Amino acid sequence: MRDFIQGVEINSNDSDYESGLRAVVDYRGDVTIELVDGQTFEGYVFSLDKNFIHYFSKSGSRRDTIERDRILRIRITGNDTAAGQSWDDWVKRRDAERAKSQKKSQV
Amino acid sequence: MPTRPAKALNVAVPISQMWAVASYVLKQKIQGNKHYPLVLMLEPLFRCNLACAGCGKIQYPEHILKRTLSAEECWAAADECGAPIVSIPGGEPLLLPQIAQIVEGLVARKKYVYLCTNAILLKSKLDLFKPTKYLTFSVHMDGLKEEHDEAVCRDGVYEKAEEGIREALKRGFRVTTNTTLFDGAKPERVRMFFDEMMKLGVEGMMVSPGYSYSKAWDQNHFLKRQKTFKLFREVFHNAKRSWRFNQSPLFIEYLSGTRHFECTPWGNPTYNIFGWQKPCYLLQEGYVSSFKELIETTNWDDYGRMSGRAECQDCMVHCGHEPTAVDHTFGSMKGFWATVRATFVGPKIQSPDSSVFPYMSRPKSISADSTDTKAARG
Repeated sequence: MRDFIQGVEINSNDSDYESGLRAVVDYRGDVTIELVDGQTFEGYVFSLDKNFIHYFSKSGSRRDTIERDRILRIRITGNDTAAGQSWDDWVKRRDAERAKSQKKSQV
Repeated sequence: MPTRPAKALNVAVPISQMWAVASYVLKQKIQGNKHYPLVLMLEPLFRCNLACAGCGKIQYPEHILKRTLSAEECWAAADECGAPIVSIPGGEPLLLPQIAQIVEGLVARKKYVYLCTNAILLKSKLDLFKPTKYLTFSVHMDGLKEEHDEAVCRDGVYEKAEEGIREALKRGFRVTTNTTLFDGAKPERVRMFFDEMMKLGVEGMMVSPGYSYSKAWDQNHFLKRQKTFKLFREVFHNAKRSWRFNQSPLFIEYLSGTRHFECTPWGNPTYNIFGWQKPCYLLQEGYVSSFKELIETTNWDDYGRMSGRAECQDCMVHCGHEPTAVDHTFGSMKGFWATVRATFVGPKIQSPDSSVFPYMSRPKSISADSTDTKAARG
């Protein structure tokens, strides 16, 4: 399975399209949605159901929906704001810093 | 060493609040309503003035962090849900210009409001609020200065929070603390922290283990759960009489491995700018637009330890299990007397060296495909 990270393009005819859609909902950054009629929307997708995806447009003020049938492709365009921010990541960083400063003081 | 009561651990919840919860739960029982909410988790914003390690609530694009719920949306959610208690986490709710208005409207509805805050702004914002039995500032404190400042990734926050707590107490507000204990917490330090909070004069403390996410049913799961039992046994065995808690004593027995509770994922439903979060405060599997839809369209059997879902195997957090404890209290005479006994005599806590653990039925199976679920980042 592909890694759905920034820069990846998910086309509606891709075999892993459904997994891609789920990954988009999981992704903590913005995506660009291109519709079959050529319209594009940039925003944060937060939910998915049988017929619609639900998102907040980057520039709009309200929640919005798009029918899944109208989607041609989705590009993961924004930064993943969660990348490297987990508790484990932080513990690793902290331990590395501690080890570094311990080494320094020993020297 | 045998199980022993924890020397009458005090439960610090006002009688009026206990009565409000008890009568609400009994009403649900009489009506045969199984999926009733106990606490609405109302998240009016995700923005925060801290960036704590691992906190998933702030990991959103800037335009999402700028969005907030209006007071009307908050009140509508509280009305729709009907829970007697509303907890306002975040983000940092005190950053919201309309927070006092939101609280005022909830208090007018006779909701018991727990405004969760890191207390950095507490002292400067107190003028916005009026002391009432319906409003409690629940201050995030993850331990003594060293542990807390490390957990929130900023020096000086502990002192700032202490200052806010003192001022709020001086002005007659209800103040509690909420503490998450992670792997590596030192029991002696936690006990010292409880002493400090009691000296400070808070009404009560809430404590919960951090969420532990695992993907496979292996020995690690048992170790994690047993680690939690051991930690809480070490903390609560020989508990001090002076400690007061703002939570069910049966939940403390559960954390210490004296008894077992399954999760009640609908107990603390979450509402935020995206809508009603499916299925619980920690897992994010999408949102629905109404509370009714959340309750009626979620397949609740898919969640909790018994479901076999990998993410739920080690989860022992309060938002899923304290509602079970409360339901147990009012669900049977046995549960009721256990609560009375634990309240007046103290919860039964096994010795930290004990190898006695509660019986847990084996889950159906651990679902491999559940790993693609949105992982908890809360």
